[in-house]
Amino acid sequence: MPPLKAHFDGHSIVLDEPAVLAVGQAVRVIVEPKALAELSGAELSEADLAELARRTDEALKPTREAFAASGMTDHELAEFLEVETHAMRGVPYAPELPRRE
Amino acid sequence: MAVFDNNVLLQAMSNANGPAGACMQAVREGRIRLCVGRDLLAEFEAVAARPLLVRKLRLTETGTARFITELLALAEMIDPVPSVFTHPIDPKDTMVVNLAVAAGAHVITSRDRHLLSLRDPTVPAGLEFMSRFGFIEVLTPVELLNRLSSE
Repeated sequence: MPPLKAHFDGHSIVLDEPAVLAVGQAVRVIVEPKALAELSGAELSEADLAELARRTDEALKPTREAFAASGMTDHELAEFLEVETHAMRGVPYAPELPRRE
Repeated sequence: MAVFDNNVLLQAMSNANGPAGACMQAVREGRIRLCVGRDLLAEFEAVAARPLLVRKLRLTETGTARFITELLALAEMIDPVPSVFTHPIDPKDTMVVNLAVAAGAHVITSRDRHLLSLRDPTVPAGLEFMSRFGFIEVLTPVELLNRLSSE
């Protein structure tokens, strides 16, 4: 499939031409309005991508501040995420001993 | 072409300053071509919504949506992803391997010990993986960054 033409309108990624959706329901539910799955492979300008990155970082600021305030190391964060993911999967995953980095 | 497992993505989302965050930055800069799949993103969404993560890391639906939106803009969506391999210990890791195979990726990036065990030829799953998919390396984020810096 050729790259889709799209642009970032300051809020969402908007396709410049009609396209058939190709992403599963789970994804479609959480992406923002108009930020369609067809973004995969969409041709966005460098400025659009930079703005998208800036807004992603802005939206994640509380999360990154919460991590910084938690006192966890990056290694501990990784182990925490592994344990949570495996708990959801129902697969045992013993965390490694804490490691200071 | 690379596949990041979900915990690498979650780690990058939570901490931009660690190795996983640096890997995501490399994707943004076009130094890594990333691919994603529906199953992978569906699990990403589900893990990011777990109450303990939401509480401890203050994850929000908007933050997760923004991150996935950016992933979709940066990465190549692989669809369909045929099932060609089953991980014997953690069947859910199978989707990462199958995605890498379908994409023709050369790297899986993960800190998951079950996935990292696939590079151990002394365990049956590792032996099978390496004999069938020897073109795919399983690297930790730090190893991937070292590889990038040496290129």
